[in-house]
Amino acid sequence: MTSTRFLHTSDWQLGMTRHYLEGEAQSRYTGDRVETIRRIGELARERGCAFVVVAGDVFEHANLSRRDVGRALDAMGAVQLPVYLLPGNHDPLGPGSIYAQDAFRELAPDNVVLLDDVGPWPAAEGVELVAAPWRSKRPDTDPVAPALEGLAADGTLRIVVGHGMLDELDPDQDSLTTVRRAPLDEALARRAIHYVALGDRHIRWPEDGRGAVHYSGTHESTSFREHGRGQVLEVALEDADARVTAHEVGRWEHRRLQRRLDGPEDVDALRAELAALTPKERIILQTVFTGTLSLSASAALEDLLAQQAEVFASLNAWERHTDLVVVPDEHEFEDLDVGGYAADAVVELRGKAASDAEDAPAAGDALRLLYRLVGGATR
Amino acid sequence: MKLHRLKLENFRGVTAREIEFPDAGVVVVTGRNEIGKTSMIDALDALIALPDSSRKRTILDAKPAGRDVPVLVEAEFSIGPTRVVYTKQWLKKPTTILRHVTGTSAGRTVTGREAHDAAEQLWATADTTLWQALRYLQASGLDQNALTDSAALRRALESRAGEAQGDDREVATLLERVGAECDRYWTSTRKRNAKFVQAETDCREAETAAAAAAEELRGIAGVEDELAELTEEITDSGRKLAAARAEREELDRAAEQIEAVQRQQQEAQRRRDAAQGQLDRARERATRRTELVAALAADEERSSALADDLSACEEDLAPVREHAEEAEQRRAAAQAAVQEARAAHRSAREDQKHLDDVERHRRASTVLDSLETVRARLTELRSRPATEIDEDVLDDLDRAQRTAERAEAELAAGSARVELTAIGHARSIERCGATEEVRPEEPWSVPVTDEVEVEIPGEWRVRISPEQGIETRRDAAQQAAEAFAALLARHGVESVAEARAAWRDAQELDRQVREAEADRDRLLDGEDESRLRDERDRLAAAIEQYGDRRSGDAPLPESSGAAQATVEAAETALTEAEDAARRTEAAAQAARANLEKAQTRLHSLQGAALEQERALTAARARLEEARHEVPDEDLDHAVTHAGEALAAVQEEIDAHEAHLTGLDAERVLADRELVADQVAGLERLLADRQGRRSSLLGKLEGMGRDRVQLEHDQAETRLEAARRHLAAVERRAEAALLLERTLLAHRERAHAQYVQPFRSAVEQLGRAVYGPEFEVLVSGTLEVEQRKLDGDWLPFSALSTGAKEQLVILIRLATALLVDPEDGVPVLLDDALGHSDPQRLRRLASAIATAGERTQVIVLTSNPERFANLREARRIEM
Repeated sequence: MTSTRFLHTSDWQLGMTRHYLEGEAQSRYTGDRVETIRRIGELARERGCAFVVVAGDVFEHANLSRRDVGRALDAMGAVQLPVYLLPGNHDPLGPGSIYAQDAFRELAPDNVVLLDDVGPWPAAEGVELVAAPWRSKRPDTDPVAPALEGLAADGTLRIVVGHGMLDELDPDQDSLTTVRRAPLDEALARRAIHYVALGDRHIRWPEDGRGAVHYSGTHESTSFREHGRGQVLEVALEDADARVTAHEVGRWEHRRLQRRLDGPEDVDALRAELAALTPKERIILQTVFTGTLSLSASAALEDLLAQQAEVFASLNAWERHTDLVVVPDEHEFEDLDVGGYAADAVVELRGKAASDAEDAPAAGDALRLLYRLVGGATR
Repeated sequence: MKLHRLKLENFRGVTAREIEFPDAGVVVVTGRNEIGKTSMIDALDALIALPDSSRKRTILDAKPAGRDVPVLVEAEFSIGPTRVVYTKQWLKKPTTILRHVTGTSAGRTVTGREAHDAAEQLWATADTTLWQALRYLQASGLDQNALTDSAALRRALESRAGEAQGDDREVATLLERVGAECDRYWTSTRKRNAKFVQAETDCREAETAAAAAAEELRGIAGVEDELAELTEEITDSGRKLAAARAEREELDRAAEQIEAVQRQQQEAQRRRDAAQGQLDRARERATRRTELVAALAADEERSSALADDLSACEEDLAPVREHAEEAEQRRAAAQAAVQEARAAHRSAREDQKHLDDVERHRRASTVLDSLETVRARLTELRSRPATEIDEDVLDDLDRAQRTAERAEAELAAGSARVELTAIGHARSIERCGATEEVRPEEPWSVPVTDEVEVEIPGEWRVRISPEQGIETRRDAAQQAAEAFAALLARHGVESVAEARAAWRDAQELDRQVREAEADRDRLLDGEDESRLRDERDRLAAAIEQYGDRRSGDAPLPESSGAAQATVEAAETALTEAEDAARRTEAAAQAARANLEKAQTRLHSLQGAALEQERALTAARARLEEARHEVPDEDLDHAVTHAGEALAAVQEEIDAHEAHLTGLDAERVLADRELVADQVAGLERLLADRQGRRSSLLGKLEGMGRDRVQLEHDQAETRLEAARRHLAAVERRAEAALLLERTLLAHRERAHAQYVQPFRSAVEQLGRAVYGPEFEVLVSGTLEVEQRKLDGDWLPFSALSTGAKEQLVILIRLATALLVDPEDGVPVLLDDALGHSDPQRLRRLASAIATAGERTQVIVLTSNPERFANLREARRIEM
């Protein structure tokens, strides 16, 4: 029995934009997603891999400029090993496909192989890739199962390369494009295939690395649902057994910061926490704060966030889940000599801010404003 | 704040002026109109507000026209413990100097911008609201100034209300800052301001742009979908086309075999057509022979019939001709009779005319004779003498006679009368020599128109003379009688009766003449006499001529009536002869026509017989010739032979037909055609779809996909940012608005507490002017809303100009009295109380004096008389 070693990656979705990234952050994000391909190449060579399979969604869409396609292909060329690209739901074959465009056909380096036909593709002596490309945007059947037809357990080492959500993971049970697990298990059991390299899920699966059916996840984080940075899977097939090792290659991180803030000490802790995060320019931060802060603590938090927003790639609150009440403590305005009817106004606003009234947040904001206007924030 | 001194140079109309104000009490500054009293206040405002570099209109307009001089204002004032001299020069050598006289910085002088800022800072510690509020400027109308923002007043009021609130001045400035924060997002009426609206607009526009970009992107996806569908259709069409082509090849092979049989069948059909032609021709020839024989027989029959007709016709002709000749003779006889009757009729009419002429001649002669008689009588009548007396003359004569008689009567009536009555028996009297007897029953009486002398014979002679006046009457009677006599003489008559008789004779003559003329006219009866004579002569000649001309055979009728009878008889005879002639003419014509018809028929029959003879000869010749060429039996034989040949070839055709049926030829050929159409249709469809595919591919390529995608991505990013920005703006705006509203609501509540002491102060001062019943109603913003006087409440707006003016001045004075003297500012009254009566003026002056005890009161006026009561006041003349 032959053996082989390769890198399994997927969902590069080159050309993707994130609308919460403004200005240069977006440019860096786009550039880094291409740049990571080079690091994947380095890793593959370092690990002695024979090739790299990209299990679908290489490109975000078919509307990339020639320049962007060229840069991506250039990075793939730098891998210096065969790179097998599988068309997925974002970049299917068919009319208008990115793979049908002049840019791809003319600029693709020799090591890049487009798996544009269903069935086995020889990858090395005794090793075949069983490709299940998306031939149209909206297939009406399991996108992987047809590729398994007629495969015999003839001693050839076969790696199925497919794209789609496994039925056990797909929340949409009625989806036509769900990848059925049973035919895969059946083919694996009878040794007609030996590894299933899947794409579509952006998070690596299964996390324990066992079994022969795997999602590598995306190489660079694309949303707050994805914890940590992007990874690729190093797959070693030996005597028909698959050993899978995950390697972190991504540099970007979507991080959701969910904290309860109930006093200046919590704000200080948050400050320290943010200071520890690195590299800030590649961290996209979303805050979800709950709790109750005094005006001074709230002002401190506001200052902190304003400072950090300039450093992180992006820093925004997840408004829907933010529930931070601002209520001045009893001495805050006393210290500021707010007298006359203004003192009465403070009492009223404080009551409102602490209530469940619809304008409670506005009352909190009004207090913060008052606090600032009487010089509280600067003291 | 206290104002100690004010100096102006080249400020509007003021070239140079310096006024010093006492530290307390009332000062009345007087000067004529336009001397620049109000300019002093404006100058002070400019000093505080405008830096020396200012080119604002206040400064530019202040400079005297045409003079290149600097504008200068200098003021000495105290705020709290600090007293300063503040000088500013604009336009030329701009300068600012602030010299501290007393206070923590006493003796320090700063200049330039530093001086301006220091002065501004110092000024800010004064109650500027109060400074603005306590001015009364005629030019600015009768408004009540906002007093609630005055911290000094509030402090005073709070203190009087027994409240100890915080530093309201701080709060007031806080409210200003909150207001400023609000102003960042809201308009003055607290609607979304331009910036806020812009954020909303930006967000909406970003949404629109993102939607448009998404739509464009969907357009690309649409084309891709269309292409995918088309590609599938092309594949499908290709498959169908291949199947159709295979079917067509199969059908082509079957069709080839069928076509071979069809060709043989067509060949047989051609031969059958030839055989049919031969049979038809043989049958035609036989038919023609039969027809020739029949035609000859018919000709012979017709010839015989014609000969019979001809002989019958000749027999019929003789009686017709005879009848025609007889009719002609009768017609000639009738014509002759007509001529004769016509001559008799003419002769009778000539006789009648002749007799008429004789009668007319006789009548003309009679008339002419009568005319002669009438003419002679007329001549006689006209020769009688004429009279000149007419009706007018008669009237004149009557009148003259009556005049004479009346004069005479008047003569008698006017004169005395002498009446003698014989008593007992008749007596005689003698007068003028004549004796008259007077009987007792008939007295004698005469008028005394002349001397009357009566003699009773023997006894008395009585002479009676008329009275003196009788002469006049006598002359009148005399003249009338003479005139009457002269008129009679002029007309040649003796009396009026004679004249009347002459007139009647003339009338009678005239009547006779008219009668004679009427006779003449009746005789002529409108005719001209000479023409009548001509007619008589012509008739005489005609009568004579006819007598010579007429033959003497027949006697002339007895009379005109007899002649008429003769004419009528001749006319009847003529009419009858003409009728008879017409009848015979018609009979003759009918007989002639009959004869012509019989003759024509005879000629026609003769022609036809000749023609028929020729035709018969020709028919015989044709039959002869035909039989000579082909005998009758040969023709029959040819027909039989051709029929047999035709049957044979038809059998052959039927065999081919059976073969084709076996091959299902009809279906195969129809199918082949259908499949060929299908192939062509599919080829067209395929070509069409491929064309469309190419065109869609081209379109997709030309859609600028990367650009559209990039724009879409950027639009989404912009939208995200715009939404975030708008959310932040909304949040900050709502917070500012809520804070302001809350503060204002609390201020309103706080102000309500100040109202009472303020009201008391105004009423106390007002009662000194208006009496003990004066009351006011004050709003939360310290505005006097209503005033009560003599039991009536009146809203401020309804007060007279004078009353309003008094009240706003009272409010200012009351305010000045309320505030702590340390906080106080000068009360400034410019050109005030122009509308108040002397009594009110006196009382107001008293109120002003009261205020002056506590604060500076500066009165600017051009009418110092108004403020004559202010005895303690210092007066400055400008």
